[in-house]
Amino acid sequence: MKYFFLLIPMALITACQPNGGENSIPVVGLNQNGKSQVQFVDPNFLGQKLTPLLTNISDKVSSSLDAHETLESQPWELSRVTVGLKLETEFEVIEDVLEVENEGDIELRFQKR
Amino acid sequence: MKLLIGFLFLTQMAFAQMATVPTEWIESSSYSEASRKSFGLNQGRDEITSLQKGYQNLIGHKSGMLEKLSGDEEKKWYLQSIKTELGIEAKGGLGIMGAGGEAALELIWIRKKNGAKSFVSFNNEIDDQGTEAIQISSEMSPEALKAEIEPIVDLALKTSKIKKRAFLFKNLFNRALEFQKTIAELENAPSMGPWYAYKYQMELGVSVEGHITPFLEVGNALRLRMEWWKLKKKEVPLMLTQPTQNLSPNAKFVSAIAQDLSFIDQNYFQNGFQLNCMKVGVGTSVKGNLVIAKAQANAKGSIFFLRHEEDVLNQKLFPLPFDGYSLQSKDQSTIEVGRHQFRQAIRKSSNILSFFARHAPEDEGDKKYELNVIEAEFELFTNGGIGLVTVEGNAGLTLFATRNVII
Repeated sequence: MKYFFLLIPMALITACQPNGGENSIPVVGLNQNGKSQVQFVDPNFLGQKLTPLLTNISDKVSSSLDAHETLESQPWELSRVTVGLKLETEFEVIEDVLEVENEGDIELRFQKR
Repeated sequence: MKLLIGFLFLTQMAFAQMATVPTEWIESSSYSEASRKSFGLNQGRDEITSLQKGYQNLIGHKSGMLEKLSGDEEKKWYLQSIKTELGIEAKGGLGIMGAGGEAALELIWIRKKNGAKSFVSFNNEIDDQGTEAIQISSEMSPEALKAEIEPIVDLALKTSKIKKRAFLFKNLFNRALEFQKTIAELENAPSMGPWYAYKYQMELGVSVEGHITPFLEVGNALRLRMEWWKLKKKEVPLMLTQPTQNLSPNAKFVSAIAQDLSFIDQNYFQNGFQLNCMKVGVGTSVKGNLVIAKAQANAKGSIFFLRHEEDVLNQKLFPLPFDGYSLQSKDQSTIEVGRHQFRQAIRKSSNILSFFARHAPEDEGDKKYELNVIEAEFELFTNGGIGLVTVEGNAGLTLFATRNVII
């Protein structure tokens, strides 16, 4: 088996404004009508919000994999795991948005040492 | 394991311009028009400078974010690489990819090993690791093919999604035989320069009943992939004289693409990036010959081309008898694209990727993660033109710039 399904509920709620600030970061995507849209996020989003979130997910996934010692005895060795995360950019607050995909906007690939 | 995390923040700052790619980059304008307006330095300079600044700003933010990720050296499992995306909205604005749509650029950051370059497998990074692959070569006997398919079928049954073992096995075996016939032709394709076809993949959707479709469809219980590899460039001689036997249409097809890739203007950049790989989606004509698929999402397979280190550009080759390509749309209709036009499309797309490769950061020794792969997605237009895909578009051709990876 080359990969492993992991379900990590994640809510990424961003309240954005349509006009960017001087240092704001543009995020592009499709709206509900399938048309492109641009929103701007605060530059602190990456450093202060997304980084701790990714660190948290990374720590939890690697800890979970480390704990699966039973996999060692299987004929197929698990050596690589991909976790895909989808970045939601919505104006309204959405709670408990779960988007873990095989091919996501951000993919984290874990490797066994 | 369940996390519930919410964010709410507002920004109130002065207005600023969003970095925008030149209009010619996302439209089906000709290479010469795009070249005059944006690849040269005299015209469109302010726009290009602004784009460079915006692109490097986005890269800087991403890099800064990765450097702050903690890494537990005690654990057996570690975060080895991260793929992030940049997208282009309809008017050309460049930004971080949000929800939905096609990404224009995919960036793969790979963790260094104790500060040193990691040199991981390029193919491990770009392939979808969630799909089981059946490796097929032209030399495999029917028995060897069956032995390759057997464990995949067993695995499919263990998922409990597939019920009819014999039916699935028979269908997969027949597909494998068809696939093998095509790869025998690809292996006989003559060398026409430094590029060659090194990988052919075909994605397959499997229904609960064991039916196989060349596309991944809603309701598929399983997805599989057939794969052929040319592990290294064989001693296929350059076509310096007329071939002694007629080349098959599929051999001509891949040799022609490989030759046309030689028209890329620049392959190497000072920061270590090389423009050395291309992926094209393929379909089949009524006669069963390979054609270029307009959109990879509807392609029956993908062929990967790689640039070999050896420089053979100055050799005088025997003309390949190949006039042009068929470009197949989702409804199976085709248009013909001449080789000259295709070469111009290759030059235009490679010049666009060259911009992003050239302006990617130099390797900074003290960083934990290094940007090693830049993947640019291009839309093929029905008039034979090409442009960077926007979030609303459909990618048909992918160019890769890589550094410090093993291909």
